[in-house]
Amino acid sequence: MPEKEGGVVMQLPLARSRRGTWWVTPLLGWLGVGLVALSLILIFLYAPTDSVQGQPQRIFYLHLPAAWLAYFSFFLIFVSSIAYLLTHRTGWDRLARASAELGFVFTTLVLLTGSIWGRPIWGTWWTWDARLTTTLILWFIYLAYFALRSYVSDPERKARYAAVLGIIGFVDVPIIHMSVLWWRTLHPQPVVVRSGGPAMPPAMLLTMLVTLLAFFVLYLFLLVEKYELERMKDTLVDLRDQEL
Amino acid sequence: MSHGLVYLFAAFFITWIILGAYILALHRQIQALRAEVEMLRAQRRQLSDAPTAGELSKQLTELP
Repeated sequence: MPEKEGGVVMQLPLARSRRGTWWVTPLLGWLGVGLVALSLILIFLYAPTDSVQGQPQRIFYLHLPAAWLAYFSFFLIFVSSIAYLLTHRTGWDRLARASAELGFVFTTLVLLTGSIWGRPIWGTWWTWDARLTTTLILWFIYLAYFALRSYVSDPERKARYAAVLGIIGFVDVPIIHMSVLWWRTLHPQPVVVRSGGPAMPPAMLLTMLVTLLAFFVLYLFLLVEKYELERMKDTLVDLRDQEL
Repeated sequence: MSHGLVYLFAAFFITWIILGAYILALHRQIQALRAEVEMLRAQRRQLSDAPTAGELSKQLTELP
């Protein structure tokens, strides 16, 4: 903080933001748009129609990447929560905050696309099946995470409590994955991550991989933007505190 | 249109509407915060240009 004679002049710590990395977000954004366009072409024009389920099977190409990103978000919360508790660096808490919001969006998408897919195939929008129920629990854990953050006012305690919830809540992710193996469910068994390799035709697998990549790039774009937003919020809070 | 296609398009429509709305909301929040940051930056610049208490007292003592 530079000092002038008889007074202190505060400088904004914002000038250093994203210097040298300004190109990351546009690059991810445009790459994401290109990959999404390519994945849509593959989904509707290249991937074969499933002989049993027909057209609704194509919902799989949205449902699976959304599910993986919902789990990945909680994995990021888990890792950054541990890192925050060990280092007390705000950056880790900020990363957890950013991942939580994205995870909530993608878990909502999993539940919605799954419900729409389930209606023509199972004949119902919802069933209290183990996979569906544990995914709904994940959605509620995300809600609890936001509620906890909004109820605690002290920033340090807020970050600490949220980190503990982030670590405990992650337990649900492996349970979701294993639910179709542990219990008898309506939800199909894993078709991609399974012993013996993916159980689908190469054209479907390629389409799924491209769609997964498109969603992942889109996710990174959103994560960078959300992290930047959280960083700006923290800076503004600091500046307002300095003014008071 | 067969029933299967209705469900297929509903799933794609809802997914892209939710993602589009989220991207838009994020973009608007960033724009609003940037504007606030710029405003604060301008205020700070004005503060730093203004004479400090030390400078003011020095000017006062130098008055004839």
